[in-house]
Amino acid sequence: MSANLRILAGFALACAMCAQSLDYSPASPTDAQIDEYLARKSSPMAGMGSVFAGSGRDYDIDPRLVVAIAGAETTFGKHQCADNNAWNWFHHRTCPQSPFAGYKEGAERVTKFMRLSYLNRGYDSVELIQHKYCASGCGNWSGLVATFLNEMPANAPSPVPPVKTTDMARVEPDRATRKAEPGAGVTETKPANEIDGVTAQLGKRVFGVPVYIVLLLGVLAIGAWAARGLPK
Amino acid sequence: MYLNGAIVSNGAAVRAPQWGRRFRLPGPAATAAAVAALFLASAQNPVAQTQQSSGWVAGRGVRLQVPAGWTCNEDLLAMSGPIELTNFGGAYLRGGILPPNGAEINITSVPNPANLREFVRKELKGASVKQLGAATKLPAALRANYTQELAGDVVLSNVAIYLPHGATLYKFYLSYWTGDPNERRLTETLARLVQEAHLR
Repeated sequence: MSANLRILAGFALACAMCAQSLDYSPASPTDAQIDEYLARKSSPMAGMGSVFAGSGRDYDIDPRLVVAIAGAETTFGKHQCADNNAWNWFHHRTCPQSPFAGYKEGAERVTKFMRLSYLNRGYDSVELIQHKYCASGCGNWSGLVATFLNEMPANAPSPVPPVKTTDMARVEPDRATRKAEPGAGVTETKPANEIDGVTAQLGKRVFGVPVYIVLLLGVLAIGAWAARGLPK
Repeated sequence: MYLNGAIVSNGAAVRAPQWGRRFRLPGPAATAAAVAALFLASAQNPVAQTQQSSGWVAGRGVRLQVPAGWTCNEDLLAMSGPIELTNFGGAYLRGGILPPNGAEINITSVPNPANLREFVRKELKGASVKQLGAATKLPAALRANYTQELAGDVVLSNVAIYLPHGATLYKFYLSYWTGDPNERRLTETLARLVQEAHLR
């Protein structure tokens, strides 16, 4: 494929991602698909698929958006500084008290807020949402959200069977043993995505090779190329 | 002005310093290294919001003057996003939550619906709508007052004005914490913006 064609294909893919609607649609995932995805991510929110899907239907929001934001903010609730606040709401340098009594309340309230304060008001893409949701310190936020959003299953026959009750039970102990970070409410903390985002980016693979190896090889190649031109 | 490796100034050509040649730095390699460094740096850098504190702004078919004491997020406009005005420099709490005593005004537009009242009811589903009626001085427009609970002790007050104009519906939203001492001034600012806005 020529360079021009590759650029064109990349541009088309980027445009397709930009044009992706965040409204609820027949392609939005089912309860079981959301549960399966969250269980795969070892999220303490696994089993809440019906809440995400139901709220999405009620407020005309693709539930993938709310799940993906939790993914970018706290690795799907695995690294949150206050209980049930998988979306890092109210975070501003210090860890705030959780505004949610449980994940159910959180999922419903965040979905409603996304409709009333974002989509209704013209923030209709992940890139636009970032400028308000994560106004500073979030260089890779929209990339992470888009990645999670696109990797979630759509409402189509799933190649992976739905998660059974026994699989859920395997996730439960993690939920039971998870504790809020010490000193929540007073300590200077960083939202999990600032750490996990970098980890997630580095954990990606290109043709099976980790990204950090590819980057390292690239830097070495550039260094070798540059060194050839230096005076001896 | 550069022309064939020379700087042309007032008709006289002066030889530009050949930095690459003098230090024998390979041009493409240096460029590639700089691009790689910029790429790596940009992956870690926070998003810097560019705010405009005065003058005119335009977006989504609306042109208006930024009110005194407010700033407009220029990055959103550059991305063809909605107009976002804030009185706190755009420093939202995580989640896009207003800081205490902060207020925002959002302006956007959509195709004009056949039934405006039905459109508004559908759009504000889930919100506690306190009032829905004609906006004063704008007979064609609808104004809705509604609240939204964010946490046990945090409730947002909102005013939305829906203004049909030709084939387009222009939407103006004001949000602030319930109990904000500047509530009256905020609603007056919104009303003035709606009246003075230039619609396409």
